[in-house]
Amino acid sequence: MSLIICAKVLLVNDELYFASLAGQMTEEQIRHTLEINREWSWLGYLLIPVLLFLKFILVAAILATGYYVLANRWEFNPFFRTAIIAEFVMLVPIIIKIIWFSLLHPAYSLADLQEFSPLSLSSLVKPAEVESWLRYPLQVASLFEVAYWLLIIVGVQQLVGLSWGRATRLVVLSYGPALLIWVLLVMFVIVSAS
Amino acid sequence: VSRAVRYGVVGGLMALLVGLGWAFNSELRQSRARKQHLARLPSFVARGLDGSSLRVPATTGRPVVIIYFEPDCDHCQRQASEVSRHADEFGRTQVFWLSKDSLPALRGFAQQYGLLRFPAMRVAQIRPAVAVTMHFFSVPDLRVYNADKQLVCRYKGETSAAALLKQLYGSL
Repeated sequence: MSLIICAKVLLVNDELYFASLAGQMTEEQIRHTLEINREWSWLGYLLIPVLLFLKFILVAAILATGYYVLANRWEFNPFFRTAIIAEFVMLVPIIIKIIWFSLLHPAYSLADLQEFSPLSLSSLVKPAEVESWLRYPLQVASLFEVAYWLLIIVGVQQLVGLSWGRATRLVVLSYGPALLIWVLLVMFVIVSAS
Repeated sequence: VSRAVRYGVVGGLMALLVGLGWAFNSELRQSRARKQHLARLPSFVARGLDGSSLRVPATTGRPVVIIYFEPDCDHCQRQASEVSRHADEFGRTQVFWLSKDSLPALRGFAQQYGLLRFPAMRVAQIRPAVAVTMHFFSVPDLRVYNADKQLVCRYKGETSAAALLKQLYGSL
């Protein structure tokens, strides 16, 4: 959570807003947008832990349901711990983002920050070349997602005591379809709003 | 676990996946059709502030700016101030302020921001069905059409008059 806040504080400032929005808005309009952002920033910070907690609960529930169906046993806490541990891998792209934009490419826009997705299929294509609904699945298809899956499999293997093969089967058959449903849902929302 | 529960979970998951996939595909087709439809300004009838019918666009051969708004929205109020300040620069452009709100509310808005002083500006009420057809779902929603009624650009949220004029002069 502190890393996300750190990234926001280090990379997003007033100058960036002025430079990125100058093509559409007047200075006064940008200033007003910034004021509203500042006024509601506490909500954004409050939502980070809440959403993370919800993600842990959801991932654990999905894995627990898969385990219940496949092994006829109910466990929740080991899956919850696994979800928390695996999430650490998602901190790496945030660290890369901070280093990339603060040290290597300091001239960036808000769009660059939003579209930055290291080691993903999205980084292989230009954002303007793909349809808006396709960007999210391309961002999800990253090496970090692969590492996340591997960490969940290892976590399930270690904490629940399943063999590598059974843990892989459990994760592929439960987390896999759930991720697919989530990606489809996000794509649906993007298409509806466009 | 009984076989019924296992089949139920797997079947439910499959049904959800297929359902979402179908819904997404259907929405994607609709979205593409919508984009094609809105690429050219459709002609429709609105209600002018005096209650009479007003055709949009009113005349042909002139660029059109459509601003979908709500009188109570802060962003729309600032948008009105911004456009009103530069109203003279819109020249031969037809600027339509469209809203689903009541006529008295629209009259108050037009009066407050002095929109009626400029012949290029029209404030009108549209039916909810028109808002759906035009895919207006957030305010302010601004669209610039050239003299051939082709969509030049679309802005969601407050937009400077300079940005609109740049698009207009580029399309004139």
